[in-house]
Amino acid sequence: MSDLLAQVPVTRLPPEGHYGPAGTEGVRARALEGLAAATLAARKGGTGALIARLTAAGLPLVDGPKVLFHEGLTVLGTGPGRWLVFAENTTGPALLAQLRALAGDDVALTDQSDANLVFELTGPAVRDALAKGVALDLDPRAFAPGDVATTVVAHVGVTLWACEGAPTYRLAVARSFAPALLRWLTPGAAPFGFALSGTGRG
Amino acid sequence: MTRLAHGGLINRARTLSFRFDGKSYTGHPGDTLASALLANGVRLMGRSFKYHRPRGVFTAGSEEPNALVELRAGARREPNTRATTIELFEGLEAQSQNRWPSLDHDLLSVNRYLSPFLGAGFYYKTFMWPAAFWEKLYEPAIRRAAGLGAAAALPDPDTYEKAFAFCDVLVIGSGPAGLAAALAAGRAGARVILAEEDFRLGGRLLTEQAAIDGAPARDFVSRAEAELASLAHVRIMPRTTVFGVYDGGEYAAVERVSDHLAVPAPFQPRQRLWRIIAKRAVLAAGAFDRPIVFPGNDRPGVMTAQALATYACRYGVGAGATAAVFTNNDAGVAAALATAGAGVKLEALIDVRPALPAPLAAKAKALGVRVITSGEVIATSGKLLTGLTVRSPAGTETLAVEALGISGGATPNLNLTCHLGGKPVYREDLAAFVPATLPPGLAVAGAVAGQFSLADCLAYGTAEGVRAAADAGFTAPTLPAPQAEETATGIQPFWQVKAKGDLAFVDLQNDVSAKDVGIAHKEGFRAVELLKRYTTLGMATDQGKTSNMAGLALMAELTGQGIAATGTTLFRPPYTPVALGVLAGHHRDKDFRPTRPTPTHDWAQRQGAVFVETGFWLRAAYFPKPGEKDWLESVNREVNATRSACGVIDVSTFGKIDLQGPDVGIFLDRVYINMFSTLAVGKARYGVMLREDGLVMDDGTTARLGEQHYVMTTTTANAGKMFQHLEFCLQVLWPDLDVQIASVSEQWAQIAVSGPRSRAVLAQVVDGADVSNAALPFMGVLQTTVMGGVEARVFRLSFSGELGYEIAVPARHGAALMEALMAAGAPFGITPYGTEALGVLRIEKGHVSGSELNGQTSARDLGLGRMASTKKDYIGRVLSQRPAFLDPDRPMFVGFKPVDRSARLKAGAHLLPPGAEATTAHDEGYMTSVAYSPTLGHSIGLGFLKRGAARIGEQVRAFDPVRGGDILVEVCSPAFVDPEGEKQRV
Repeated sequence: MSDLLAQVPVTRLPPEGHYGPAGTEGVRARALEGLAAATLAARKGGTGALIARLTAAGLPLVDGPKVLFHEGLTVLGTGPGRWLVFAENTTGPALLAQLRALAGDDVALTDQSDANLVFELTGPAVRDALAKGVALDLDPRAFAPGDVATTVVAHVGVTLWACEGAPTYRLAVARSFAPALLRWLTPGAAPFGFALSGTGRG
Repeated sequence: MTRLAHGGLINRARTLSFRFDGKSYTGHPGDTLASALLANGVRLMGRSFKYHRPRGVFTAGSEEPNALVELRAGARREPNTRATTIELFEGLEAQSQNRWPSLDHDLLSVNRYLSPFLGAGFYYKTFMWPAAFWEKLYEPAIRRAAGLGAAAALPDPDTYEKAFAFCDVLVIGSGPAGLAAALAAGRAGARVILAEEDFRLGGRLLTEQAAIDGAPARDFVSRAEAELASLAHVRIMPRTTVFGVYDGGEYAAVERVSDHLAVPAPFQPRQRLWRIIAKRAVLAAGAFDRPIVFPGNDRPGVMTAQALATYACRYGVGAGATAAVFTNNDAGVAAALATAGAGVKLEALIDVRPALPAPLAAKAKALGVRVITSGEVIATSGKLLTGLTVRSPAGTETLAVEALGISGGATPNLNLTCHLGGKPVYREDLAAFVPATLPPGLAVAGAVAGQFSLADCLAYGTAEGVRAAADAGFTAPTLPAPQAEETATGIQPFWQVKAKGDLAFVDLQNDVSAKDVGIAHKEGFRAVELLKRYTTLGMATDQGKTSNMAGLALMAELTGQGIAATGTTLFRPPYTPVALGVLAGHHRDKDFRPTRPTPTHDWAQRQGAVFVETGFWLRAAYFPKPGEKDWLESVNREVNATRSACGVIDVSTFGKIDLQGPDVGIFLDRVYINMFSTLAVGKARYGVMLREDGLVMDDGTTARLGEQHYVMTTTTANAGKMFQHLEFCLQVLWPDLDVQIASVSEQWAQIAVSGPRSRAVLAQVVDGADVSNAALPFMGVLQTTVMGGVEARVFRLSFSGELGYEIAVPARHGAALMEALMAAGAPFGITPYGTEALGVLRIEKGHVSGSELNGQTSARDLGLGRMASTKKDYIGRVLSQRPAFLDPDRPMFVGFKPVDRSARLKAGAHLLPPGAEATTAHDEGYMTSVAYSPTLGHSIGLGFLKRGAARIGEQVRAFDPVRGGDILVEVCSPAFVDPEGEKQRV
């Protein structure tokens, strides 16, 4: 346990602020607000038809660990015939309705808007900080923008994807595990200078 | 002072002060603790393990057997730290260990006079009887006398972390072969990690006198390091020991981030554990110089010839004012010449061979070194070395020297090649074991492969670097390998000087002498693995890196079967000792594992809840009120309030699984023992799942939300496991079923409201929905909104036996729902309750929970046998019909009341017939759950009793030998409260 968080209850997200040597900012993390989310799963044997239908509707899904960014939607391939969809500035029920209209009745849709917290991580040292727990090769040669993975970090399940632009990742973590995940990330990112926002004043 | 006038890779412009055993000394940046102590003339650094003989430094690396010290003080004290690897820093503080009262005067050194009795197997043979004395007397006494340093007793103030790294080529070691391999692979464009245990790259090149590409070897190191540092895809990791090889190209390494500092820099860990995943690896770990066994070969001042040369050339230190070298091989000779060349006064070079190779003889002559051929050192003198006795064809003479370098040849450092089971093979021409079968993806280059000459190291290193990069998909540009002259590598195998006198040591760390190997042989412990366990040869912190070869060579000579047939012990991880702290990394104290707060955690904290860890979750156990004298009083109040009015509890921790698709009904029929395909939309049903072996796995309720849409709840403990189970069933057992599942455990907060007034409370939070008994009957489900538009699911369920509802809302609204319920229920005295009251309520009602679903009970045992459908197949059905499961004598679920109502029941008590002897033969079952029932006013229990249901009204003994307790209990129905189930249906 790091002294850095000695005063922060284990049940709370570490408060927003700067951690680490003053004047450095190697890693920035921001909790994203206002995201709706849903899982989308094809019916048995229906993956091809679903992809065809959504592609025709302008949403060219990929059946694999890839991310599709499309008009405010982020569609993550999380398993064969399964996707996790995030949408900005909308609600769970509205997202379900939008996906239902696109995909039709023959898919499983489940609201997950309250299940996860999503963090955006960026900065020149973000890969070095993530390497302290993410057992994935995050080098752009191996994990390029548009790649997604579900993995385990410090005993916590996360879904992690690479975004466009100077190393930027987004990371979805189950709501009740978010404090534990940030308790891992904060001391590991602090040596590089860590700016955390969106987690409240503590 | 024995610091040489010049030379060495130390910064003489800066002085560092440090303390050893309380005395102040100075050294320079670039020194190790060992080199700085030698430079200050300190040759006595420790006492030996068994005989407490004075010992000095023996090597210049991590293979050190002798110079183990306690580094730092207080909470940061680290025992058994090798002085040879400790980088000197300002203010360093170290203590010698395994001595009392002082290093110079160690009382236990009397043991050396007992050495005729303290040989191999001494403890086994001596402390044989009376047997009862072993535990109480012998072992504690032996343990006090044995052992090395003492660990700090305070919490470690430093932090540790872990990290992952991925590369195409991992190069282990940065001597000539490693540098050449890293350069070749790096130039090819491969992602390279170069891991070096030392704080400085170069390995033997830091001492090497031969030239590379026409320039001093050290210049090559600088050029190579600069080039590697300029390549963005190459990572140089000094102070990093690769200590283990694992499957799939995974290597474990420890990086000593801050060990060279007095305290870690702010925010920095002390050490970092790396898991390096490499497509290919090149092991270039070099070789160790090994000792020759002769009487008195352990005196402080005796060290390996390579160490003597390293102290002279790398650190600018003469290990003594005068020195000699005793060897059987060309590298030993080269070390002697390098030592002399660095300015140490070399009295003699003693070689067992009749002649030196001509070029080396010429160099010796040029340096004015006296060479004694066909010579042997047969004795040493002094507490610290003062002299040698040398025997040669010319006669016996004594030499006055303070340092003696010995070299019995090079032992390839092949430790890592054994980690996946590789067995080294013996090469007679090298008098050394070399790697044979290698871990997949790992190649060896340089001295570790028996390629001892400098030219070979560079050539093979380059070749393996090129090949590793090519295997990883990178074509190397054809650049010439660095060139060096062939260095001589001749050797005449020689292990032991045959002479009488002082003890001749094989293993310095464990005080194993040649005599002990003889005892092991005589007593039949001849196989190398037995030799190791019987004599302790090759055990402890150095794992015999320097000593194993001589030990097994001596055994081979005794058995006459040769070294190749004798074989060598195998190495396992870790290569060098690894601190437990770095293996734990971030996961210490409260971060040992994640803590999951419930959606109402902060609210509960404001109510003064006392929390309990249930798995990762932190749940409210009870809510004490001012004036309550103990937890029981609080729990009784919570139970009474729930039974008489209304109670409320967060049950979000249940596993929740969303199931959709046309085949969900069939699927549930197969995983539950009871029928779900017939469940009407808008209804919930309690279900039990079995394992394949017929034992109960989990229970919970599943509700049908739509024609093709169900939601399942699982127990808190099995939330993850049940999701995995359903995934397994769908992917493996019945891939034909069209069912899609998603975990919604985190999506929904769920709050249970129980008690006769719960309907009135619920009515106030729903947005106008009809929640009357007719509209929402027992086991009914309502999808509605609450609190002005928040989506909600209301399940009319009861775990307490009272009228009750579970209300689910999206997790972010969980705390608001709790507050709304509290406000709505305030007029009725709504009372929050925790897991303690939850337990009491369910025990009073006779509902089973984790203590009963304990992996040993069938549905029939639990009294749930009649739930099992006979109209369908389901997981566990066949094996639940095994004869033993149907045995009428099998313990069955019942309730218990103490006959003396004031007595307290204890969970875990065993059930015996009254008057029967307390033996296993009379055991009739056991108590699983107990509680004080405020409703009944006495202790109650649940458990399993032989033919239980048929014995209601009987009395049995509840016998608890563990915590004490032997009382008569009355067997009763497990449903203590409302056995007809009327209260939950009102």
